[in-house]
Amino acid sequence: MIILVNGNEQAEYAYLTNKMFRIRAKVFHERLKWDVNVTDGLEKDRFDQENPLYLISVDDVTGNVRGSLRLLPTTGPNMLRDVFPMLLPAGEVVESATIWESSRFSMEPGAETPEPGRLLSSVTGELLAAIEEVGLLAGLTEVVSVFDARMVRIFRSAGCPALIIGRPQRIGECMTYAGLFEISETARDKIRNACGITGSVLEPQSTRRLFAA
Amino acid sequence: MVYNDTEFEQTVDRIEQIKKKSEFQSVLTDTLSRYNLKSLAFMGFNIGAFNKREPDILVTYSRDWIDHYRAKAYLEVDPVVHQGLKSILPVDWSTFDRKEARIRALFNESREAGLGNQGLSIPVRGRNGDMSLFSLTCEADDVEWSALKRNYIRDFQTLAVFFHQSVLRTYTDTDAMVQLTPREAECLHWAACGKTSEETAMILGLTRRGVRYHIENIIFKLNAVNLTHAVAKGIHFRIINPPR
Repeated sequence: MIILVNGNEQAEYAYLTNKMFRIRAKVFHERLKWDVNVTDGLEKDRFDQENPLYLISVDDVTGNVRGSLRLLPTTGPNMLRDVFPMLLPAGEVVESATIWESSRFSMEPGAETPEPGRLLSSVTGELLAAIEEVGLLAGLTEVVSVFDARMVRIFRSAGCPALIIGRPQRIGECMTYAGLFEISETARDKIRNACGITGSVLEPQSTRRLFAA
Repeated sequence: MVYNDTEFEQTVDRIEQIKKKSEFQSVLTDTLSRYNLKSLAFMGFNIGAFNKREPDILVTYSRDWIDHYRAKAYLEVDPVVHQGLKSILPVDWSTFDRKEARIRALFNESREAGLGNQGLSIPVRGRNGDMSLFSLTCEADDVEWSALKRNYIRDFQTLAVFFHQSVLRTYTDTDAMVQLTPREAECLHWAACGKTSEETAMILGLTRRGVRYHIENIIFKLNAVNLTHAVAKGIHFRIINPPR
């Protein structure tokens, strides 16, 4: 299931968020070798100080953190505008009340391997389905994201191909893309079907605490 | 529902066309009747002047309710204010914990004052540390509300941002509208971390002259006297966010 945590609640949810930052360090620093800052085994950047909304995937049985992503409104500071503006034609920005940005999509190494008979792992499916659910709750029309080729394959398998905007570029060793994902009940159901998810993936208590579903 | 897409678009147009502070009130009142609401309230933070401590408030509440709210010092306990800006998610007022007597009194009295029994607040985040909370209330039973809420969130997620931008445009002095390039923002960030321009040049793989050039531009753009002043403004407007 997915637990929602506000960026400014990191202290209260330190157990979850530290696990999340540790997984991010493993994925982005150790595996993908991105140019990210890791302190005491935790990967954090300046957008973590902008009170994002974290979607954290937690194992239903063990309670272990398995993966996460973060959402930021595109009206405020975000990665596409502030870090990767070169992916869009000069002068173009994605800035809309109904588009949020997803970044730092990551999971515990191994958790991205699909279970037998599936195209996507349960953690991947849960995170993608959660973006749709949260987007619907917040009245969004799209989510924008900067991602690499590894993610392009994942999105296709999940039945939610991205609409690539601007021009992909090689940054470091990776081809880097900016893309839009539709937020709709149709898109949500496609992901659910592709990933064998039957109902809401959001943990009810945290959703109630933050929103009231 | 009493509105359709045309009305939504007309409301967006009205908000976008606002030129003077005096126009906000009538736009809010019109939106209120268009959407069959009981009240609308905009509360903006960090909008406009450099040293502003008080939020900017635009409301459709009656004078009596505002005076009553002040007299009872409800701001101290009002969960709308205290929880509304904690998250980027919209907040449904029915989720607030009303166990505390003063909070219960606040909601009971607000209903008596005609604010309605249901409420929703939508947080808006701007580029330069500006934030606002756009709240609406209406009268509806819980079943009606769960259907209405979706429509309200869909429309007001957008309306709130347009309203925020209109307030920003009309209230702001030019300082807060500054746009630094990503490179300039990086240079300012490292200055805020205590790095000299030589060190910054090394970190960013630029020449020392390149860094100096960026810093000159930053100082000019931020209308600052020197780099220290620019760092202070940069943090205030949240152009940079150096580690504590």
